Amino acid sequence: MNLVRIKEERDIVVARSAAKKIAQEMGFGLVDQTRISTAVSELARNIYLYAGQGEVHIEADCNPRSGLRITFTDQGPGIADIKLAMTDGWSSVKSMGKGLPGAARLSDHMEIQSELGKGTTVIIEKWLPE
Amino acid sequence: MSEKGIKNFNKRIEAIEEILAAAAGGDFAAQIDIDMDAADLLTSVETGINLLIADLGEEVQESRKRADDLAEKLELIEKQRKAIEELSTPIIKIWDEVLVLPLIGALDTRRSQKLTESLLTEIALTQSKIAILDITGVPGVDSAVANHLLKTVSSVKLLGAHCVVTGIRPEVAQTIVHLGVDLSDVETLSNLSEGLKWAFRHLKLMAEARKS
Amino acid sequence: MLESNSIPILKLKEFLIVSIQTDLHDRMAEQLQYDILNRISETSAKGVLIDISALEMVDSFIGRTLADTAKMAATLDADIVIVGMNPAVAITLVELGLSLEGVYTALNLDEGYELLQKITTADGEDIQNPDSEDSVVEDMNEPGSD
Ligand SMILES: Nc1ncnc2c1ncn2[C@@H]1O[C@H](COP(=O)(O)OP(=O)(O)OP(=O)(O)O)[C@@H](O)[C@H]1O
Ligand SMILES: [Mg+2]
Repeated sequence: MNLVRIKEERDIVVARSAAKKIAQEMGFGLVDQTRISTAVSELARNIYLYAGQGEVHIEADCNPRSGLRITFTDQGPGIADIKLAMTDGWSSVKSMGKGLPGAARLSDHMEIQSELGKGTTVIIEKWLPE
Repeated sequence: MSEKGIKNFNKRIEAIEEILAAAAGGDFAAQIDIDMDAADLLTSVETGINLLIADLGEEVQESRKRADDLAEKLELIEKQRKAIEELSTPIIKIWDEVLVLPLIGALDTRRSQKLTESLLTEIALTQSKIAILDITGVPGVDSAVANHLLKTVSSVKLLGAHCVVTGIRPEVAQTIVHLGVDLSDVETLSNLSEGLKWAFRHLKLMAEARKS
Repeated sequence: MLESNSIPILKLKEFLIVSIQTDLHDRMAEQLQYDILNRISETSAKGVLIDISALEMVDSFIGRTLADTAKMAATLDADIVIVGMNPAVAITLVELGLSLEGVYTALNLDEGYELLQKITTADGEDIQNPDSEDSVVEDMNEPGSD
């Protein structure tokens, strides 16, 4: 299962379990598996909370190193100020503001593209240790 | 068909093309056969190409060798780094429920993550209540290192064990305060023997509380 | 995997024991918080042990729900001890940026039970100041002052 649609709250669990399973099959250690499933949980929840629905795409193998690339897309409201949203502790809804910066710390690479009124795409990568 | 004054023009051009194609493919061994007795306009071009290819071949060979050397050295460094990493992170079960981790060498993100992982695994495995991190052997304790230590201490706490950091040299204490790193939540002691005393006092306290 | 929506809460003398055996989705975590607080007020329990050794992941939502539950329980005069967190979960939680300050933790149920006994008997007795030198609960993973 490489594509998980996020429509309801339970889909967050489906997405993180799917990512963990793939990570395990790829040979990631237990701590990395946990980092991956936790990051997925945060970003999938953001889709559910802020965009209502969207998709999580999990791919093995990414250039230039082998690993996992996970893409989160939604057609929600978009993020006005990405830098602000990435600030540890900043939240537009008085939550903890840990999701985006935390997911960045848990992965090896993260990028965000967002356009107001159009939607948001977040990509994270986790590489297998050499 | 032949150009004026040039013999076997088509054939020789074909030969040049072949040699160039071989060189492009990485084969610099082949050379154009040159008939010196029948030198004409094309002969100088042929000689030039031969020289160029010979030079190119040498250079490529040399840079390949350099790349190989470099890769070999990198591999060696990597091997040594791993060996040092393993050597320098023993976890000693010094007493029932007490682990000591004498840290030696620089603490970067990668190493401190690995350390934390093995320490936590060991704590869970032995159900040890106390972990003593001795940083006497860590050079250059800056805010990055202090933050690594803080993370280790926090995760040990989450497991339900206690962490003490020992071996804080005076200059390290100075740096930490100057850098504004807040270690107030961390039990810190000057040396390992103080740490052990702390551990025993702590275990005794817990045992006494159990009796009463 | 247990698919029922409620996690059993057992009573043992003056304590409650909860063992989370399933991957928690958000609503379930909220339900658990609600159930624990209700059981505390019904039974006047003095403490709650929450065993999370089977939890493979704690994200910001579950982490915050656990920490909030501990704070809410404290206002009902009950202490919560989180027991048996996995190493991988602890490492990830700290990297995520949550250290569950203010939450008691223990290695296993036995330790958690002892800790609960100590902190609940200490409550209201001579140990007002957890930092005092001869306090029995000195440094027993007591919640931070914030
Ligand atoms: N997919 C998204 N679409 C629109 N806005 C988003 C999206 N993801 C994040 N945001 C915005 O970025 C802010 C920061 O997100 P982040 O996940 O870091 O924190 P949070 O969700 O507010 O709190 P926490 O995740 O700690 O509960 C959010 O408050 C929200 O305004
Ligand atoms: Mg979030």
